[in-house]
Amino acid sequence: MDRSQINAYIDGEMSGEELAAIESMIENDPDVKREYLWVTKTKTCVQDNIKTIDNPELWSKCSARFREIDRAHRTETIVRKYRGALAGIVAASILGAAYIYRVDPSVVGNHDLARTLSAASVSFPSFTPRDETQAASWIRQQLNRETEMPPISQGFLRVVEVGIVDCPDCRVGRVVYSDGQNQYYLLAFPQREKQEFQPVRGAPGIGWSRVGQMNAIGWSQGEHWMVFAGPKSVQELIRMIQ
Amino acid sequence: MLFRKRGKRDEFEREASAVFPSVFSTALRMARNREEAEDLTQEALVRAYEAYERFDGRNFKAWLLRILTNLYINRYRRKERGPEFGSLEADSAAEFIPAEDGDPSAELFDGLMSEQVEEALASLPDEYRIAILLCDVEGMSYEEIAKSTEVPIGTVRSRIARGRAALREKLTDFARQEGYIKGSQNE
Repeated sequence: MDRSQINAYIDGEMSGEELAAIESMIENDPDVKREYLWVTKTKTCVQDNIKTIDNPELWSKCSARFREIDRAHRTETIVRKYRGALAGIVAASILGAAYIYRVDPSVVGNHDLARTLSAASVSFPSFTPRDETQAASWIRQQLNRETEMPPISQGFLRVVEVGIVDCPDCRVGRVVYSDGQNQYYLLAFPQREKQEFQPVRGAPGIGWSRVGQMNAIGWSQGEHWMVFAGPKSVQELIRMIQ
Repeated sequence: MLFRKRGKRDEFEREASAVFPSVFSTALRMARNREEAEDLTQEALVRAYEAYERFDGRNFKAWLLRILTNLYINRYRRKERGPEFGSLEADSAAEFIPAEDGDPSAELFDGLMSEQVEEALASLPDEYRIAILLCDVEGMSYEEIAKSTEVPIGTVRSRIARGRAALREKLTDFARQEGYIKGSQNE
């Protein structure tokens, strides 16, 4: 007989012949009985004194973690389930944003004006024409369009230069005038659907924009969006083209 | 969602909250360190939560304590502290030695404080302490303890016997110090 048999008996882990044998020994053998009493006493002492300890704060933390795990799984499941659709949405969003924020080639904006007015941007060999008529003819030929150039010189402006500016998406005809002190620019953009020009009160069909130190007025003429820019007020520029 | 039906999750929380104090108490007595016990409990519950769909539905508390015990043995003890070998294998607790001084009196350990019993239990090596905790405090069968601790039933039986013998000696020492035992009743 060893101690583990008595312990197993006390713990209810015996059956059959083994159980009958140990019960008989406890009843008949004083030493076994004494051991049985000691083990029982020890077990009872542990059961009576080792108390359960609660920890409500920890349970709250655990409960919160279950919810976190659930949320993470839910997100994961949704992503897995709808990943095709989500990829489509993301792609559509990117394309949508690209469309919304694209540089619209059909818009004449300040960047076009700034580029066109810069002397360095003239990429086609330019020259000094005899007069406006020659300038208009040359531009018409270069742009291969019916281009009507308004007579602007009116005695006090002289034509300084005519040339072509190659923009990323179009070619712009440019005539440079001078009044002896300042330069003025007449630009012929290919016709655009939209222009970033503000309407001018009292001048229907004419728009206004500001580029650096210059004002620019624009209007639709023939196959072009014409722009006249110079260091004058909008009203003065309008008078100069009429 | 982890559980297809919300009801299943609620069921887990209901069952887990009912046995939570037992799980935490066991963790505390295994680890003997509150912070470590809290980590251990939380980790065991999370593992159980994630594996709940595989629970066979029979004894939730035993299943949860098995996860806890496995976690403690595999993670905390081996990785952080290294194996703690029991020192009871070679001493006299291994064999049944008839007591010389008669039966224990009915009131023998009655005067002991819970703290003294806790201290006696805490002094046991891990293997013995865990076996006694799961058996005497949590009421698990030898088979369930064997599964939890990944040892044969015979080893569980032996650990419980040796552990109780060692515990009895500690408790007897306390009882002697308190004057509940005169002379050498257990010797």
